Amino acid sequence: MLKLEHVVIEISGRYIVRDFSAGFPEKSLTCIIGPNGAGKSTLLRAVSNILPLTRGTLSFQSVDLQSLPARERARRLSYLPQTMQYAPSFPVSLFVELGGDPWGNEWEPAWKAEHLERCLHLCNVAHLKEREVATLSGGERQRVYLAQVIYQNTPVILLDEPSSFLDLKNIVLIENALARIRDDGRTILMVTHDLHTVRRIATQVIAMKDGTPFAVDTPAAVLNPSLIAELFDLDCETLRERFFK
Amino acid sequence: MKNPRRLIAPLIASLAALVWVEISIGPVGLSFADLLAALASPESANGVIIWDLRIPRIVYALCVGSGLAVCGLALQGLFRNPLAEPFTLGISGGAALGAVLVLTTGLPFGSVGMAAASFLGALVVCLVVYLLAARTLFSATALILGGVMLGFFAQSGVLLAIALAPGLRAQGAMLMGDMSYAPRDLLLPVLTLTAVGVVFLFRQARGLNVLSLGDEKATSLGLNVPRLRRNVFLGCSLITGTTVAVLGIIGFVGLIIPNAVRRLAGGDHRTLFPLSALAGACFILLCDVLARSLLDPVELPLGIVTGFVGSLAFLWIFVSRKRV
Repeated sequence: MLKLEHVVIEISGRYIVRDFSAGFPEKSLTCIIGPNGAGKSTLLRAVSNILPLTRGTLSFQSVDLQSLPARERARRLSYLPQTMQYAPSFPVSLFVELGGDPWGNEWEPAWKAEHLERCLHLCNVAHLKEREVATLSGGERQRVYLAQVIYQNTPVILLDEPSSFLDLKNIVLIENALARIRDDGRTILMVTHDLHTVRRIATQVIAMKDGTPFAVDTPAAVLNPSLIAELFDLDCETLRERFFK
Repeated sequence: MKNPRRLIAPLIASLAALVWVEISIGPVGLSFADLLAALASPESANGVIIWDLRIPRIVYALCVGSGLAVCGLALQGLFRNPLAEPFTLGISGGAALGAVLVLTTGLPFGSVGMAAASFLGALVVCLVVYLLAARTLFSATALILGGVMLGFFAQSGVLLAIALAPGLRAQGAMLMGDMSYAPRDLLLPVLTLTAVGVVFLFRQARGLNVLSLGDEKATSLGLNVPRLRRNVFLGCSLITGTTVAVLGIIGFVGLIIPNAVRRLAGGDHRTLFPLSALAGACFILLCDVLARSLLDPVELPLGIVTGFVGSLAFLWIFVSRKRV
């Protein structure tokens, strides 16, 4: 169980996340939805050790994550940023293997090779193994990034809009991969704007607004027109026409 | 796929060939037989030429070439900018200024003091460059412009110090690296310090690979980014400080070599480091052979040759720039 209790994140005088508490069990995929600027990405960045918490606690299986050394934390949490700024001139296989960095030399070479193949297949990028990351298309690249995160082999996986900018086929590929690893017993937290994805693979939804959870419930309960309308400050009719016909 | 392994054999062969050329050419031409005889008897006339002049020169060339190439690679990886290297970032200038300040103030520390001041000068510029870079959000152009200006500032300082201390005219060589002044008695310290710096930077390869994913991703993978940055600055300052204190500023090695090697061997720092060290040594030996033979009997300062080749390469990389 990953637990956030009374988390507050302040960045240069502005409270981006205020008093956020939630729990995330094993074998769960929680989608965090909400308007732009609600604090979703900030929350994810803080959980993944990039931003410090201003207040509050963060624990996984009752271990306080904030007091763990960075490397130990990276063995428990992996993170896919919203945009990967750089695509170095590595072949895909080496790029994905960088995800294993927090584990040093602890993995058996045979297991490691097998694990790599498994991750590449899971994300449908095995055929791209020898290609350079910089030469891949957007969809291929996103799948490679996801393979790297899965290769890190952490019980908790944090994803910031893994399927934005992707075509339908790639969205489905990524959703399927995520559903598979969710059922492996991972805890997945994912920021997304795609309500179809939420409906297909989420086990829990947190609707976030102004830095606090606005609603926390099952997808079926959260994805109702009046709640979504209120979340995004839309009028109910517009919304009904667009999404809930 | 790029295969780094196929570069090793040609590089080693070139290095051996260049060492052979460098050791045989000069005012006293030596055949292979002469050379063997001279190597065997250090006391003979030819033996003195080989052991006291040409071999030290080769060792210095290996230190500067591999040392600066490795610095360039590390800095390019750290700033994710293909134009970064000790010279373009002004680190060499800082080192030269440090060394010259010790000389002109007449502090009685000798070559140790010069090397230490040179190291400190390099380190100070590293920190200023980093602060500049952080302020301009690591804009690639701002980084290089800032670095070039810092280097210019430091070099002006060197010129000022030389102008104010007439006894130091010869130290003009500081600004245009020249191997013919290299003192033989500093060979071992230079070799040791450069080797320590090179090995230390090699050990950052894994961190630099992770950093190539971006600061945020690297942090989430548990990489201690500030420590990596500090290590790269320390290693580069050690190598640049040592070589500049003894041989003066030799620009662009750190620019050309890592870019060329990266094009042929891909982006894995674990292989790029040794390959750059080898290629850098070859490059400096080649430039020194040219410096010694192009206008024979006039010997050019090495810095002039690397300056010509390097500035053109800089422009070419700048125009065809890709992100590292």
